[in-house]
Amino acid sequence: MADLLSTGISGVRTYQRALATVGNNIANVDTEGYSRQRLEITGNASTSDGSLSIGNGARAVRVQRSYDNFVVSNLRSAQAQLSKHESALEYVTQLENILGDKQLSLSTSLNGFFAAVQEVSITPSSVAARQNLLNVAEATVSQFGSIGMQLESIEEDSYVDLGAKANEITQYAQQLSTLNSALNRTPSLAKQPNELLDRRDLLIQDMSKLLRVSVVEAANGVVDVHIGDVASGQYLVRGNESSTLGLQRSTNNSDEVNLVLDPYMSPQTVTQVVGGSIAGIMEFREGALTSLRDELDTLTQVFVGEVNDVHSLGINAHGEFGGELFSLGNIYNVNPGLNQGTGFVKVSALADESIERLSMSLTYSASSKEWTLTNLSTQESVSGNTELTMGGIKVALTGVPEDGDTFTLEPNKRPIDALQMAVTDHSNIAAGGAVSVARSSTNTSATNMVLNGYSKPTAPGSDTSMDDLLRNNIATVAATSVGTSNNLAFVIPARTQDATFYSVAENESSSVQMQVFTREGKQVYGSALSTTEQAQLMTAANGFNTTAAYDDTYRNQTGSNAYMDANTTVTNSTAGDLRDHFAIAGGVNEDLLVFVTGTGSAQMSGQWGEVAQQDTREQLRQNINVVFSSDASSYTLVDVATETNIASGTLSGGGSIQHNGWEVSFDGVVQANDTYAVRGNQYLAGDNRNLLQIIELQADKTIFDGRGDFTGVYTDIIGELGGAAMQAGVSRDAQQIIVDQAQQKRDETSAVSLDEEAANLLRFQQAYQASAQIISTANKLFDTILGIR
Amino acid sequence: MRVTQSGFYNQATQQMGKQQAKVFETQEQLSSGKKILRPSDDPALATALNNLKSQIDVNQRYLSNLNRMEDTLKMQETSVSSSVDVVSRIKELSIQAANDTYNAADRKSMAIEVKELISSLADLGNTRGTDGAYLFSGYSQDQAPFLESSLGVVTYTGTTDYQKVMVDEGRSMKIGMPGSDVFGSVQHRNASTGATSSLDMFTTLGSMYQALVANDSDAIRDNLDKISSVHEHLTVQQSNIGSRMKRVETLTHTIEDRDYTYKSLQSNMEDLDYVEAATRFKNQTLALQAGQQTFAQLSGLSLFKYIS
Repeated sequence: MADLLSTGISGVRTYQRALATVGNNIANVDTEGYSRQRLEITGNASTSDGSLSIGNGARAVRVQRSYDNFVVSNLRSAQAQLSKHESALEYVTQLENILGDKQLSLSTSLNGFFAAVQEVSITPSSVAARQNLLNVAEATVSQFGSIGMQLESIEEDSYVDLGAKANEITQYAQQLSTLNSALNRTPSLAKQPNELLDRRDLLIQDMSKLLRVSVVEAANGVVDVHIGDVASGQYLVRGNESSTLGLQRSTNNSDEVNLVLDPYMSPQTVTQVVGGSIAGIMEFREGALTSLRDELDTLTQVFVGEVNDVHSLGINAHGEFGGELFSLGNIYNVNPGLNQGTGFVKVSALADESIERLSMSLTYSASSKEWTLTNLSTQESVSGNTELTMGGIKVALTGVPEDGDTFTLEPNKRPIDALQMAVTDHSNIAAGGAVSVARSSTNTSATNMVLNGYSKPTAPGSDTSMDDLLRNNIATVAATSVGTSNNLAFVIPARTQDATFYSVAENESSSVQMQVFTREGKQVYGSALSTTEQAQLMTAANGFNTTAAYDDTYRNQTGSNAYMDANTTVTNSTAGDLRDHFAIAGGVNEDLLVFVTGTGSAQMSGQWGEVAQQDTREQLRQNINVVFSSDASSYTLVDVATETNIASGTLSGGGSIQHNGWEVSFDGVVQANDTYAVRGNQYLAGDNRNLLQIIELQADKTIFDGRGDFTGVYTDIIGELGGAAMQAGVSRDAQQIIVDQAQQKRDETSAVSLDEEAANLLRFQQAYQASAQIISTANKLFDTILGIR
Repeated sequence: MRVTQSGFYNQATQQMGKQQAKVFETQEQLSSGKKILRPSDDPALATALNNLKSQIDVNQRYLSNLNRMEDTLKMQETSVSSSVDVVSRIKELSIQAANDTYNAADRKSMAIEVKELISSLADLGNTRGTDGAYLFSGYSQDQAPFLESSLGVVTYTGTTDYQKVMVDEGRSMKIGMPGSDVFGSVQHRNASTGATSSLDMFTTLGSMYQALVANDSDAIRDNLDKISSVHEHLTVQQSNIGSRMKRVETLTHTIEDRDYTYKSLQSNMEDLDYVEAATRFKNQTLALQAGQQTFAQLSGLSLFKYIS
């Protein structure tokens, strides 16, 4: 028989639990991650009473958690994206604040520098103006350094931030694995305690704010958490095991940072860093931060390179060529290995190539007498023995190294941090021009010679044909009749000291003659050539300049009649001594071309000393006269000191003359015998021409390959940064809307509505009261039965 | 749609937060008077503004250069106009001396005066500017260009260069005047033969002095022509300076005009439209207030109030 009492009791018990559940919901209305719980009530199995089947009340089956997996994972991935955008925006805004600040504007600073140069250009001899220029330049350097320092500290802050977030994830992972082992005690999901499941979901959500993860849920609710997609194979949590996440700086480029799993035991780089603030920060570092720093570095390098190039061709108050005005110090750390020799390495920046910040190694090999510079990440290398260039830097090698000596080169300061003043004394400011031109007062015409400009003369004397041919001091050189090409035997490089050569016919049937020329066609030694022979010998392929013209004046001359008054020895073969002999005590400032003409072959021997070092720039200051012929059709360049004709040529209409790195032209028609002077300058108090050239750099749009001038490039950089920040803001706002919607959906599904719970309270209260009434009624029925006598 | 407590609060706080951010941004604009506060507000405008500001700075520098030039030109003008007076006097004396009514003694006293005048001309050539640099010595501004020997022979030791100064982008102007041109070579056209030649000023004046001392009438008459050329040369130099000053004045006006244009452009681009911004501020504040009030009202609604 259906038991009224137990039915009532079942009702009471059930509604007690229902009320407890409602109470739980109300108490947890503000708990983060809480999913609303609902008691699932089902009817007890009925008992049959004859043909009747009477129910037996109700019982609670389980506490159902209102939860939608799809909604939750949607919210999770939306939030990962939002966190990524938020982190990126936060850092980009910091960058913007630094560079957008009017006080720190680099273009204002650069304009200030050029303005100070203008000030000196008006009164070049004024000590006050010069000193002011140095002060302003110092301020500019500080400005660059200040920005560099702030960017460096943002880089460090973001690195520390990444580390902290990696730690945070590691902690969440640990907590989750502990939770997993708690969940593992129950084999079925339905029987899992709800708050464990809620806590599990909250942990995963917190994790995905930091880094996008994907979750694989087992049948009993235990989760495996993978980094990125499941396919990546890298997991944060697997059952009750968790991994540690850490950071590692990539050795090749100290700014590159990798997220690694298990950093202390067997590090494994994380392959899929997408979503989450960690991804946002890393994207910021590799994107906006790096490109900003690289662009500012390029700006610095170009500024230093261009200003120094101009400054080094000017004359300072000591009458010398200027040195560097700015320099980049400490851009590389040079660490020697355990070296036996005394090799010395100096690193400097190239003016026109961006510094790539490569890690490199340098090794000396005694067998090839060469140094090899190797890029440690790509293993590319270059070799040489005085100067090597790679990745935007120049490595100068001096000293006496031993076989196997090595150095490692690691990038140190970025150019913007390495910028410093190279001039501290105002007298070292190179204000004056190196070359000036004048016209002779005795000229018939009033035409002026105009200096179009000058640049660093090309360094002569890197030709090694003399070394190659006469390596053991003796060689056999075939004399080819003038007419075939490649007659050139070898080149005596400029400023070779005390060169001396002998040549003699190799055998009876040979008849040879050594011929020595300058590149302009002045014959210094040998036999007279016919016009056909001249044309055949003096070709560009043989090393002659295009303006070369045959000149016999200095052939076989010595003493003050010799070319450039060189101390020559010129002996032709005689009956007593069959050798041709040519020698110069000291040297000349030009390359000399040596030929052998005649039939058969010559035996040549030679000896020579070092190549004298001279600042290539001094060639600019060679005093030269430009003398026009008596019919004004052609000109001759005459070295004033030795009265030597160096070169000659003709002016094609409106044409110019180039020599030694300068170029001149004429503002009118020249008349017969007009003479003009090109003079090297010493210090002149009012000479401001080099300053004017520096000023012209301010508006020069070609130095950045047409991108614009200094201001243009800098404002572009700021504009790009602003654009990136704006973009990040827009992305963040858009993503925020998506997250808001996902959050709303989740709230709709799983959050507690107090009104609903209040209604439920009433409902279950009534049901409880009604069930209690059943017990009371059952009691009365029983009393009735008991009362039957 | 099921409205839950947390859903309601989340949404309300988000909306109010967004509205508040907008209000604060407008307030920032109003208090700074600028349309854009940071580059990300309008990157293209920010770039254009930065370029413009740089142009304004550069322009200012040229104005300052031109002012200095004006000062220097004034000093040059003073010296040259005094020189004209000096040579006028020499010319006057020469014309008098050419007259045969003067005897050796008269000419001797004239010679003494001429010698003095030549000296003062050399002194004028050695004028220094305010910073101590010599005005007429080309580039060797730290050395006096005109050396007078004990015999009264004046030689020029400066250079023949014209110092230049930048007056506009890519444009320079000559600020200096080398003594070799001002007080140096003079173009002379022989009245009778028509031949042109080049004279040296101080040599010519020196010859006149010698002629007076030697009481050589022929020489005096010969040189008269040349003295006229010298005088003319100096007046031409004076007007050269005058026209240069005019050019400086014109350039100054041009650059000042340009400065004004740039600054108005900058103001247009950068300044806030207060009317629009104030209206916007009113609207946004209104929306924020509405949001706050409705939130207050809604959050007070709860079924629990009615269940005792």
